Amino acid sequence: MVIADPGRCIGCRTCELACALAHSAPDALATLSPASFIPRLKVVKTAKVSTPVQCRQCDDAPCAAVCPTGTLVKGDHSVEVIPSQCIGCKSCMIACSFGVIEVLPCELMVSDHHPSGRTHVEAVKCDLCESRGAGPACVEVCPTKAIYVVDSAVLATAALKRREHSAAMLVIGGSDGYMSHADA
Amino acid sequence: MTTITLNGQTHEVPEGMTVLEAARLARVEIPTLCHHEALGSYGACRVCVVEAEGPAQRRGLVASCTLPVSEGLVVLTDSPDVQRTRKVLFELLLGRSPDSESLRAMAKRYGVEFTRFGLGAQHDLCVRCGLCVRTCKEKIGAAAISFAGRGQGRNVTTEFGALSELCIGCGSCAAVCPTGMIRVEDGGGERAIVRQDLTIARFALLMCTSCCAPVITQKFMDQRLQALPEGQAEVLCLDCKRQRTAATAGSFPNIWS
Repeated sequence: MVIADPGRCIGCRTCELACALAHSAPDALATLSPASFIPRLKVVKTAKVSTPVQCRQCDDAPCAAVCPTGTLVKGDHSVEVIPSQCIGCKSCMIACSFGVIEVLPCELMVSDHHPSGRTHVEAVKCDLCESRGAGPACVEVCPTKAIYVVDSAVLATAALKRREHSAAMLVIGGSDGYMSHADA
Repeated sequence: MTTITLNGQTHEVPEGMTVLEAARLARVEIPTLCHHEALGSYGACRVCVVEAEGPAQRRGLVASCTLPVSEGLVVLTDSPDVQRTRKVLFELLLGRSPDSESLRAMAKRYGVEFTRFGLGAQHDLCVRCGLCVRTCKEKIGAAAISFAGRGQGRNVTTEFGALSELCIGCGSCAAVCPTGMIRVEDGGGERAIVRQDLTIARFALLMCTSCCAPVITQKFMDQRLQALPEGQAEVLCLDCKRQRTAATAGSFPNIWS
């Protein structure tokens, strides 16, 4: 999955723009309009934090579980979307507890999947830029390097770090009040 | 794999595919109204007409969405015969639904801007493609709308034309409608599913438990989210969900240090 470090994010929304462009026609920048600006990650700014939020590619993907048409499929490292299957029921939108999947009218994909030009809605979420050779566009453009690709190796490292932290705490004997035997 | 010839080019396509699917795979343009990948073939609108001939297929004009590929099939998607037939089909559809912008745009693409046929005051936006009816029954499982009547009186309607008790207010019918006949109208905390002149159903929307924005209907929560573990379905709007995601992002395992 792709995840961001809120400590580094400055809320500039460059990732949103890069995302929208990565999922549009190559010359879309000149013709970008509010209707065709469809980023798959959204920068949330609150009083306390600013960070982009995007699909966590859940192992037990609730969106895929409730989808009645097989539009959302659990793949090897991501939850994949088959846009042409979407009937726009929005079950996935309600099921996702992160708020990172949306069902939108998609003009951009019409020529590719529906040369007929019929109206079309589809589930839109982070696809890890799988059709893009260089990997996720948001990661590449972030000026503060706040966005990371998290794969199983990174997760393993994180788990190791936490174990080391726990071990260190035991040795110190709870110098910061954590796992202190003296206090028990 | 099956070998077919599409507009003079040979293509290897998986067995059991329809000619329409094979054409889309080969990026050959065929217009459709009643076809949706999630629902399979139906053959109602006929605008996907092609000319086909093969060892197992007598030469003729057929709807490509219901024609399975067969070895040695020769398909023409834009021959003079196809063009002429398709134009008449669009004229007939325009006679039924002259006000549909999406249908007019599609017809114009294939050289039809006027129709010789007309139904007078009887015209509406519906082309009777059945996508809404099939989506509601086959995918959502509600079967709130279906066809009733015959001939010119055939119509998509609820049981006895009354407000539907089966509708769950998901709006899939409106999402798949190729002509804009069915709409979802949200306003004042209420949702109405409307077929031009007939209200299919009306709902009070549940409010976001955090910001009170209208989110979804109770019936939708009850019927569409059964696959989720107990208690996981929550009535929360997208913005509030995202804000919660952002607020908890900092507590993610410290992989950044």
